[in-house]
Amino acid sequence: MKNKNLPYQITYVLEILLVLLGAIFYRQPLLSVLLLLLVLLPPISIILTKYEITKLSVRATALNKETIRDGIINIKISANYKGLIPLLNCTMNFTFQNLYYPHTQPQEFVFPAETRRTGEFTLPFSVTKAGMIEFKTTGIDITDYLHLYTFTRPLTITIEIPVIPKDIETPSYPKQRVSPSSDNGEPSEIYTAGGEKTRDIKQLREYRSGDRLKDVHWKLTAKTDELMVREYEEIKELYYLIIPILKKPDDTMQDTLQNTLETFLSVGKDLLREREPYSVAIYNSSDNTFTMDIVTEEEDLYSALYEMYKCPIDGYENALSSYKEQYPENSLGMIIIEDGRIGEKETS
Amino acid sequence: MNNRRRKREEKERINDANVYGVTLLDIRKKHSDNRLFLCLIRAILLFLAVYGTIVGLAASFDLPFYAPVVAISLFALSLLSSFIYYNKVTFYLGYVVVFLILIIMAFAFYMYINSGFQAFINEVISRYETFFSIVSGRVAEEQITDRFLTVTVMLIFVGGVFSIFFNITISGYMDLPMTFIVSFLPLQFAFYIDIVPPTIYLVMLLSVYISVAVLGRSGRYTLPYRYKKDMPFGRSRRKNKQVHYYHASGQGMLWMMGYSVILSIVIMLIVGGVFSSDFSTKKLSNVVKDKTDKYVKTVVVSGITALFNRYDAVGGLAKGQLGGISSINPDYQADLVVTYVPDNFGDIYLKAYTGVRYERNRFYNTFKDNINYTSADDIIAADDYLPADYNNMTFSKIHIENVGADKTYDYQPYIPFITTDTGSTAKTGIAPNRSAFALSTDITQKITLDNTLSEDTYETIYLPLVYGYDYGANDPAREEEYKSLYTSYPSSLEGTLSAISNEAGLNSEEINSLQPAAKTIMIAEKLKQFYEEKFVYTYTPGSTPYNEDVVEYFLNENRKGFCAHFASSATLVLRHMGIPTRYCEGYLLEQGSLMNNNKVSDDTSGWTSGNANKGLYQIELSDANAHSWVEIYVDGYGWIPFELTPPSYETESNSGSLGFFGFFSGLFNRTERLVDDTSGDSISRSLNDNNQLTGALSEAMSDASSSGFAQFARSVGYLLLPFIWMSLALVVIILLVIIIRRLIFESKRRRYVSAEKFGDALLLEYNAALKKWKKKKIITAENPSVRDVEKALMEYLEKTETDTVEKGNANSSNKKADSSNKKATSDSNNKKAADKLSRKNKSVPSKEELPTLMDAVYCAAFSKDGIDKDTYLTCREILH
Repeated sequence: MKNKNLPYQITYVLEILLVLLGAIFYRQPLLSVLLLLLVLLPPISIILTKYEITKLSVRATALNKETIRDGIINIKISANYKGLIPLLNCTMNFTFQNLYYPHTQPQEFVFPAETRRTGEFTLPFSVTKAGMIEFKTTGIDITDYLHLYTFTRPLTITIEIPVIPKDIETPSYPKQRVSPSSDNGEPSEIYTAGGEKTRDIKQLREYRSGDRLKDVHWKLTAKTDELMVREYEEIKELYYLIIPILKKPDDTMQDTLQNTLETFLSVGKDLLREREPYSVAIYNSSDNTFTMDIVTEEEDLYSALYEMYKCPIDGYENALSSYKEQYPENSLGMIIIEDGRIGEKETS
Repeated sequence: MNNRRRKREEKERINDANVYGVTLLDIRKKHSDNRLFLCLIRAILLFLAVYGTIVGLAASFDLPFYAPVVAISLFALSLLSSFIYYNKVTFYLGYVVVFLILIIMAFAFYMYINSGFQAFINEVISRYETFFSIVSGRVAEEQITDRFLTVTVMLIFVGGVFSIFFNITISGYMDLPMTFIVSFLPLQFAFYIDIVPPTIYLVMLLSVYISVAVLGRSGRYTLPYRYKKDMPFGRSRRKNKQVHYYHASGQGMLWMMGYSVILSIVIMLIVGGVFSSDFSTKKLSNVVKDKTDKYVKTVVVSGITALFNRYDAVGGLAKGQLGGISSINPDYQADLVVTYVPDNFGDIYLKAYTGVRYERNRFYNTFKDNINYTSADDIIAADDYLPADYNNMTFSKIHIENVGADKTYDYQPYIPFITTDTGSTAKTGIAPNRSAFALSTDITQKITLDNTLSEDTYETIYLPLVYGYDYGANDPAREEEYKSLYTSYPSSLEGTLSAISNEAGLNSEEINSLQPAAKTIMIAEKLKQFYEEKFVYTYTPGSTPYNEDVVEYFLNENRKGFCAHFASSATLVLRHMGIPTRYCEGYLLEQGSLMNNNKVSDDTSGWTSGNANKGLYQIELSDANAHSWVEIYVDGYGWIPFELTPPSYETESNSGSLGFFGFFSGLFNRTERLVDDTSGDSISRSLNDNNQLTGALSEAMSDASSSGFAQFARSVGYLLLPFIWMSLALVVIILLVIIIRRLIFESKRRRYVSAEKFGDALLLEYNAALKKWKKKKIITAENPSVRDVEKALMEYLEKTETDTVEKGNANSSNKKADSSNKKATSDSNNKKAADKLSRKNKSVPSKEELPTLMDAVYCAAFSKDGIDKDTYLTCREILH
């Protein structure tokens, strides 16, 4: 029995006592019947409620998989009730929060379970910051018709919906890098959009629009009378590595987290536009490990972003030092995004 | 949500969004409730409440009305009331419109409403008179006599007013206590005198109570105008949580109302006996009724205004005090219990107070109020006398018990005997201060006075008064003294008294030509006639204006009053005419008020010397029997009591004009009064000789006087009986449900078997068995497959078998030390335990039977061919 029913229980007992006094001192049949009714109603109410709640099933589904910052997330609650007597006080307990901005204030959603109906309710969440929105239900409380007893049923549904940062103008960063010098001191290959190339020929094929002129295999072209080009193997190791440094927002500091996320997304997209695959170092501060997500297309970028959302924000500011500690020999160029800016540019 | 809250909420949301990056907006519902629908449901509840209360009350008193017209009109008014809450505009204008409609209705149909209301009051008064065995004579004037019409209009109007009350308690607050009070109070008109409204109305009211209790406690009944159409959910922010709640569910409200009606019907069907006449409250004491009876009687007799008198008239006598009382407020409690033999000479006055000097609205007694007579001279000097030849007359004994009257006075009949012997031996049974009235020894030879009585209970021998009899002048020597003392009046009243004398024709030549004694009588008769013609007898003459003389106001302006007004004014008028007159107060013992059940014995020996063919009677005199009259001194005859208070056949009609007081005149006292009474005061009289209600009341009184424990037991019985009935009914219902379910099951099974659907029949029995296994928690899965069941049963059987074997072994090892016998004993124990288990789990198949059963069930459920009869029978045997 929950405390919230106590006032109702007390008032009910008082009502019974009042009617009892009335029935004793003013012996009217109607008062006797009312007294009888007041005594009978609680067990009827509690038993019926106990019986009827077995016919209630509740589901929660997200109507959109993700949204952009300043957008709306809709979660649909479907209460399918097959009972005959409506349940007027069904309370779904839930919380919702952006994992970067914890807010665990309990929420109660009081809805009716109407006779043989499926009630559909939409909970619209307005999101103003990027991050992972977590909607979590903990249970359903169903109070009997007289508010004397509350039955609790477990209901564990967790829905996570990512909020994508807004697009911003991409800050400048070096888009082309020269590869490390070959033994003879000349550059062995130019790193271009599309990734680092090796000298291993994958195949010889006909010329296609856009192929570089230097890749034309002139000897073969002469033999075959068709313009043939060399196609090289793609690189195994990517040149760019993005390391976003996320800092937990607090009241005293300016919230740079959102800027960092925006810059990350912007740079990531820009590299993709440049057909430059890259990797993203996602830091998990809880076990001090990195996950390297290779991004070759936009979907990969969002996957990396969502993965990052799930990592604890506490200790994420140590990502760079940890990375340097764990990967001292890294030869690739790093794009470090910190406080919403391209923080550190390095080539080995 | 009002604008202020809305703005605050918006601010909170912006704050949430800034701080936490996410905020929950207004929750939406796929199918929002229609506001009209919500109002309609409330209208139905209102209608049930209004109809159950108002029409239920009218039906309780068997008032005629056009039920369909009333029902339709009240439903329309309920709709109108409930739609006040449709939106903000209707809310702000709605009540004005409804009030206007009611006011217009009141103006347009005033006569109908008024007449209907008076009809209701008349019916109520009539029933209350019957219940209390009183006759008030009050009849509210129905200007339109077609009760069907007037009661119908009145019910619609009053129903409209009540729909507003209920709209607040039901639509607005879903408040059960207030709703109950608003409906319960009007019904008290009926319940108070054990009239129960017809069941249909009680069902309506119970439905409303249940609905209001459930909806009120759910808290989900927000009025439509309080929130926007597209916002079916509200929000409350608290410190530690936020609650998002729906405002109202039309569908939920409708279903709950429906179930409330069903539940009410069931309850009324079961406990309807509570309302049966055998179980009525009339035979049980009731604290509230006991305390309020006298006020209710007062209201019945004199109207509500009688409750607001400045002086409480308890005790019956005003001791000469006039004015200050706007109406008489009798308490109907016994003041005197009188036992006597009624003679043939009419009513008996029991005189207590004699008013001599009139001053400032009061007749003062020049003698001490409590007189202790010490000699016959004192008595004669006071006001008592005997006829000269009393020895030849019929005399009687009267037994008076003073239970509630003012004990300062004696209450003596005309004409008590006087004795010169004041010795204690001759006055047995009479208190010393009353011994003067005892009879001398020669009379006591015939009538014996009881010598064991207390001071407040006394017996007196008296000579029944005979008008016109020559009593002789007892004390001619004091006539002059009488004339000077009893002919005085305030000089300020000279003008009024003269005018009245002239108006009444008391100075006419015809009268002046008579002999003194005849003249005195004629003047008194003439004045009486004048009163009858020009004055109105009423219990409620209203208060005399401040600083005005009561007699002057009565004679000049009001001309309405009760006995005290007539007697006091007559005293002064007659004194003005030179006739020695005195103002008397006491009780009037009317012959007409005697009923058969007042008779206590046919044996009158020792009670009267005359022809006592009527028997011995006992009667209680209450305030209502208190009376004022005059005594006039007639030369040669002495002091003669004279009755000037007129009987009141006159109609004091309603003005008929539009007005609040006129409308409720039935409740107050502005009604015509039909008083068929020589004194005009007595209201307690016979209804009929075979009044069964009076018998019931006597029984009730007898019950009330029974022991406290018996009362308590009756009270407990009264309260418990409905519960006992309910419990029995529940047991019967449960048994019936079990039997019916079993019958349905069996008929289904037989149907399948006769149709050779053995698979279906087996599945039917299997499902029943499954329920049992679930109940025993052998199977815990919600929707188990056939194989799940088989597995669970097998596990259960194995587990119980292992447990039993272990238990058996443990027992055997303890009991049997001999190892050679151990095995045999163990086997024996195992078998016994298995048997026990088998008995315990009779419904669970054995391990060997289980595969057969489950295979058959599987086939029955999934195979096209089903199962054959033999398999079914085998499985049935296994299951049972």
